[in-house]
Parts: sequence; structure tokens; C-alpha cells
Amino acid sequence: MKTFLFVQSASPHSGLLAKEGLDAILMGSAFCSVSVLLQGDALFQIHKDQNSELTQTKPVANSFKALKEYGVQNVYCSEQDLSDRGLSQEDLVISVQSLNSVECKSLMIQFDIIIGF
Amino acid sequence: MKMSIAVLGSPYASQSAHTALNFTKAALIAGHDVIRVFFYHEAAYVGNGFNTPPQDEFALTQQWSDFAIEHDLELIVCVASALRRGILDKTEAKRYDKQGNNMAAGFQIGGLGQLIDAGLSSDRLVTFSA
Repeated sequence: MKTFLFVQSASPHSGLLAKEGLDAILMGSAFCSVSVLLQGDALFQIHKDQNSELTQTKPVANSFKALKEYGVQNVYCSEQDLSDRGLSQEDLVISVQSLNSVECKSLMIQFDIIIGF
Repeated sequence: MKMSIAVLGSPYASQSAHTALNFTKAALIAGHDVIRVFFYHEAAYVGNGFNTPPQDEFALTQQWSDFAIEHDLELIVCVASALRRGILDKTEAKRYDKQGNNMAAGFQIGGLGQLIDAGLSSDRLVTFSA
């Protein structure tokens, strides 16, 4: 079975891309082995204490908590992206595997299919 | 090679769907099979048959329609992306009690599962991002 890596790059409240990307991740997890890489401002998608009621949107972070139940075990990010944004694991709603730049590159080649949102 | 194409960008705010069209044409000329083109996110607007650009401008939706019909290509617009952006075929318009429908010829409503299936059943899934 082919393996998928979904790369999320959008910030959580800059449009629908974060949500529509997440919908694709959830759909993908029903069919095959899925991993997720949160790149750049997409890390804010899993930031704690977001109040999406204020923007009348659905909370994206909550859906990430459900990923495990959908069989998505591996969520990755780069160490650099975390530190650039002043974030640490304690600020996030799920635990992510942070990779250095060499590990990030070798992550990409492990998958059959990469879809970027 | 079996290929599928995913298009994410808005027709008039990005180059995505235009480049995807050129790429898909080139892929067919080079002898590849294009199994499916999947329009997702803002690219759902490409399927709007009411897009009516001035006659001296490139008519993106029309070009995709003509190309798909000529080559019997499968153009799928994700149902969730399409409905929230007001792109409806006859069936959806009836289901949601809307006055008209605007899905362009050659495009079909489909589900996200078809994006995943496109990845599974092709040698390459090429994404034209937002």
C-alpha cells in the first residue's frame, strides 16, 4: 500500500486551506497510511487556546486531536519552524516529532505520495 | 506513465489552474495517461460554467471543458469545496433547493476519496498548489 505525506503550510485562520487540507488528511487516513508534516505557520494550526468562536470558524486544532483515532500516528515539524515561532511542545494540542533540517529532507523521500496544502 | 493532477488555486487569483491545463496538455502530447484531474479548495471555481470573461481574454473554464471533452478526461470538482463556493450541478441544486446550476460541461462533482484514489492508482500525482 502506498504511503502518503500531507504537508500543511497554511496558517489556521488565513482562509480555508488549513481546514480543507485537514479534511483531505482525514479522508486519506481511511484508505492508506498517512503522515503529516506541519510546515511554517501551519504549526499555529495546533496551537493551544485558540478561540475560533471569535472568527465564526470551526476549530482546526480540535480535529488534530482526532488524528490518532484515524490511525495517523506521525505528525512532524521542523525544529527550526518551532523555534522561529517561539513555540515548544507544551504550546501544542498534540505531540509532534520535531526534525532537524537533514531529517526533514530524508523524511520527504520516504513517502510514495506527497500532497501539499 | 499514469498521472493524476490536483489543482488547488483560484482561477483568477493564482496561476495554478492555468499552468495545470498547460501541463496536462503537455502530458498527453508526451504520451502519458491522465487518469483524473481533481479540483479542490479555490480551484472549485474553475468548474463554474457561469465564468464569462471578455472575448479577448483567455477563457480558462471553457478551455478546460473543451479539452476534457475532446480527450475524454475526467475532471472532478470536490463536492465540499464546490458547494460552499456556490458551484452546483443539477443534482446538488435540486438537493439543496437552489434556483440554478452552474457546473461547466465536462466537469463532474466528486468526493475527496477520488483525490486519494487518484494518488493510489497513478504513478504520479502532480499538485498545482494554491
